[in-house]
This record gives sequence, structure tokens and C-alpha cells, in this order.
Amino acid sequence: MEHDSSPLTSREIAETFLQEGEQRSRLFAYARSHFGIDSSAAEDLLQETAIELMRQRSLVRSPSGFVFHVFHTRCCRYLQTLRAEQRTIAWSDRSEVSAGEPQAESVDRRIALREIFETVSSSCRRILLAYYVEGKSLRETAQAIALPYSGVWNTINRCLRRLRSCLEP
Amino acid sequence: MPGTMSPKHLDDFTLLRYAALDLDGPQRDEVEEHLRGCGKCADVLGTLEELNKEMKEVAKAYTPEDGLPPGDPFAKRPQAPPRPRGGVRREPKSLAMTALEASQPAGAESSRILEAARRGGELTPFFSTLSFSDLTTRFAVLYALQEAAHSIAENPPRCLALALATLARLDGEAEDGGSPNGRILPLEALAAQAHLLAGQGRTWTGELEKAGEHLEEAYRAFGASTGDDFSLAIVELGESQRRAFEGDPATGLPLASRALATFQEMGLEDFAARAQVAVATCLSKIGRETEAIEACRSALPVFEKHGLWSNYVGAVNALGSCLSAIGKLDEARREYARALRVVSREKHAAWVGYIRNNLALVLFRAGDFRAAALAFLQAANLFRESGSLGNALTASLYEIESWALSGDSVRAAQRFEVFRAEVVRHDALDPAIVRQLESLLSGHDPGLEEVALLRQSAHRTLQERLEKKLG
Repeated sequence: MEHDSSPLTSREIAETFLQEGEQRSRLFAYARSHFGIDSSAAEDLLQETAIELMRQRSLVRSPSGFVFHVFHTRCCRYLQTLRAEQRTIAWSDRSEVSAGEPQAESVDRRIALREIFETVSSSCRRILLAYYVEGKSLRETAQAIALPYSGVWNTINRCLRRLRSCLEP
Repeated sequence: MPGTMSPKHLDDFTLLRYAALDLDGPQRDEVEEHLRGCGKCADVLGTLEELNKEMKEVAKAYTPEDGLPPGDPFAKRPQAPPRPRGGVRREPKSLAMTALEASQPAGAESSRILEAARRGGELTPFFSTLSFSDLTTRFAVLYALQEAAHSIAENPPRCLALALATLARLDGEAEDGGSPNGRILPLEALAAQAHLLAGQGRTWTGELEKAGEHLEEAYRAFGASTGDDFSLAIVELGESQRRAFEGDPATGLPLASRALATFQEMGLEDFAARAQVAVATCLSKIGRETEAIEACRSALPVFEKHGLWSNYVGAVNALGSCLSAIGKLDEARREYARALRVVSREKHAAWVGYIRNNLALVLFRAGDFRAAALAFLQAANLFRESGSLGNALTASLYEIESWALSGDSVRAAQRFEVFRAEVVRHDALDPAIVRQLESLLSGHDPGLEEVALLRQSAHRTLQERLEKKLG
């Protein structure tokens, strides 16, 4: 669903999205299997996605990625609200159905990583930013942290284990 | 090196350092030997290599939040408001279908709003006829504001007037938070869009402080209403540009990077390219020209591919400035020359004028004054063709100065006469400045340094007087 020669507006994409069932079915299945969201909520999230798309008149040159991102973000927010309400969600068969988008898994993992990144300790985040953003070598990074030397090692290992868990199935 | 090796398995940090080629010879050998006999560590290494790659992408999005002081209103992207109870589908009629029906005729209605803005004059009476209880009107105003932002370069004051009229009309409007209209398109989201346009407009007109207030309000209001990442990223992009112009590129950079990460995640390569240029602008202003050049070069093919010529020209000009700043004048000249071959003169005279003008500036800085004079002459003609008189006259002033610097004082005097006639015809410049210029350019030894100073002050006066005259 790429329209590079004559891109559609976000609103036009919403119209197509509501009229054609295929993409909605894929995203519906994705919300159910990947997030464990119930059918009724998944259908609501699809409609909310359409409304969000209608609020933009910008031209969108890669509609499928855009729609997926909007929908995915809505699912994440929905789960956050549920967590806040201390409800539990059944996480089953997470990997069986994909959203049908080639970048879905990678975007998903990145979002998950980012969420975890936000919750790691500030010293851990400082270490990772020094390495990934400031371009310090790992050795320099370890030396730059004002922690006892053995503590640095443990902090980094703890942090890496946490982040690594994101990538494991 | 504590913990490098446990008797059983390697720790994560050691494996990450191994993956990042950060270990020296003996340590590396030791790790390799262990990996040959330990499948578990080899598996962990595979995951860490992947993590290493993913983290580089994630870090791009994190730069901003850690790069801005906690009190900065843009320190963290606002969280979306809690999702209201009761699904959109369970309304008597699906809210999505209601929204679709209302937004369909909004396109034509938004054209009517834009036409009213184009006609100029007082917009308040027109806006007083609009009713925000009508969902189509809400969509129409929203689309008009968005449409105006897309072509803001054509007339920033007009866009600003539209934004301010919308805000004035919204003032005092109360929203029933739980109403279907409020859930589909909250009035606060309309206000956010109007503040965004006002912020962009004021950035263009150089009212940077006021622009900042509007953008801050847009950020807050989008966060509190729709909370959509796309709109928030657009605000971040606008704020990063404003900060770069205001002389605070260091805090503009993380915002541009944050917007870039969002657009990339959304697969919006044209918006990502715009963010790349904003990143480049900030980088170049903090002396990181080499990285800025790389960012501009990554954006150019995207603009060219999609025929986004105003963005293309902006990127070329940013690239040329960076190259000039680090003394690569020949390379800058080649980039401008290439751009002149790519952008259609017939369709985009004004944009070609900007390219030609910047090429002339490079030649001017390189001391090739004769070539610079000819390029300024062409730029001035292109600006005239597109009705950009202020820019045309400024380019003409540069042309005159270039002829004088090249030693051709006769030509400089001739061109000055043409310039003077045009200035008088349009009442574009204070006669005292014209007399001073004339006096400096006359004689065998023109005061060229003073001409340059006068040219700068004349440029400001020209823009101000012509803006007032032409609206």
C-alpha cells in the first residue's frame, strides 16, 4: 500500500482504512495475539486509529508504516491505562501473528527497548548514553562513571541483562 | 578488569565489549577461546550484538530527554491523556464513521477559510460566522491551519494572522469533554494547531520570543488533547528551528533528533528528511559542520525524489553554508551548480533565485567578484520574476558592491543608477541611505568597507519597508 507517485493525505488513508477490511483485520489480529487485547477493545483501537488519521491532512508517502505506528502506539497506551488500573492482561501466543508489516517486529522491539531504557537506573542510562550517544569507547564509558570500579561493572551488567531481555522471545 | 571472566560464563559487558571490538589482543583471545567451548555465551553474544545495533537507534531518540535541562518545557514529550472510558464503537453511531462523514466536506470548507485569509483584511468577522459545535467546521479549521503551515514560506504574516484569528475565536469556547465532537476533535487540539502555526509564523517573521510561547503552548495542548506523536514531533521540529535561530542550537539539536526518531519510526521519510535538515542547522551552529554536511546530504535525495523543492533548496543552502564555513568553497560551488541543474527555473523562479544568490555569496567570499556580480544579477532578476522585491534589491546591492570590489567602478556606478531608480519607484529605502551609498561608490577610491556596512543596514530597511507596503 505505497503511493509514492501520488501520495494520499492522512485523512484519505483513514477513509481507505475504514472501507477496506484487510489491513484492519491484520492489525486486529496483531492486537489480539501480540498484546492480548480483547476483541472489543481491539476494535475500538482500530476506530481510534482511524480518527487520529483523520486529524491530519499531511501527505503520507509510506501509509502502511504510518498506520501501523499509530495503531501500535494506541495499543501501548491502552495497556498502560490498564496497568494503571491494575488489571492483568493475558500475554499469550505473542509471536504467532505479526501485523503483516515488514518493520513491525523491529519497531516493536525498539519501542519495548525504549520503554525499558526509561526505567533503568540513571547511572545505567548515563553509561549507555556515553557509549551510544557521545561515542565513547566502552572502556572510557566505564571509566567516566563516578562509581567504585567494581560497581561500574555490576551496574553495566545488570543494565545489559535487563535490556537483553527485550530481545529474547 | 573485574568480572571479565567468571569460571563458568562471560559477563554481558565483556561480551558487549567483544562485539564492539573494544577488547585488546590477549583479552580478545581469551574470550574467543571461551566462546569456542561455550554455546550459552555464544548465544548471549548473538543477542548482545543485536542489542548493540538496536540501542544505537534507540539512543537517537533518547539524546533529547537527557540533553535538555529538567525545567525545559520540552524536556520530555508529554504523555497522552488517559484513554476515556467507553469505546468509540459503542456510541449510537461509530465515532469513526461520524468523523469520516464530518471530515469529508471539510476540505472544501477549509479552502473557503484559506481564501478569506488570502484576501487579507480583518478575519474576525469571517470567523464569527463559524460554529465550533459543528464537527465539519472543526475539521475545516484544522485542515486550513495545517494547509497554511505547508505553504508558510509564501507568506508568513498571512499565516500568522490566520492562526491568531483562530485563537481569538476559540477564546471563551467551552468544550463538553465527553461529547462525541470533543472526543473526535477536541477544541484544545484546534488551539494547539493554531499555536503551532502562530509559532511557525513568528519564527519566520523573527519574533522568536513570542514564537517560543506559542510553540510551548502547542506542545502542552497537543499533549493534553490528542497526544499524537506526529503533531508533537512537528512542534519539536519547529521549536528546534526557533532555538537555532535564537542562538541556542545546543538545546535545539536534541529536539530535532527526537522529531527525527519519531518520523523514522513512522516511516515518514520526507518528514525525517526535514528533521535531518533541522539537525544539520543546529549542528552547523555549534561548529559540527562535518556532521551537518552528512545530515544535509542524507536529506537531499529524499526531497529530490518527492519533488519537495522548497525543502530541497533549504537543504542545499544549509549544505552550502556548512561547506563554506569550513573553507570548502569549491565543493559548495559544485553543490549549488548541481542544484541549479536539478530545480526547474520555470516552475520555481524564487527557489532558483535563492540558490543563485547563495552561489553568488560563495563566489563573493572566495574573492571571485566578477563572477559573483554576474550571479547576483541573475539572482536579482529571478527574485523580481517571483515578486520578491526585497530580496531582488538586496541582491542588486551585492552586485554593485561586487563590481566595485572587482575594480569595475564604471559598471558599479551604472548598476547603482538602475538600483536607485527602482528604490525610488517603490519607495523602498530611506533616501539618506541611498545618498550615502552614492557618495561612497563615487570617485576612484570607493569606501568599500562602509558600502558593506550600509548594504547590511539597507537590507534590513528594505525588508521592513517592503513588508509593510506589500503586507
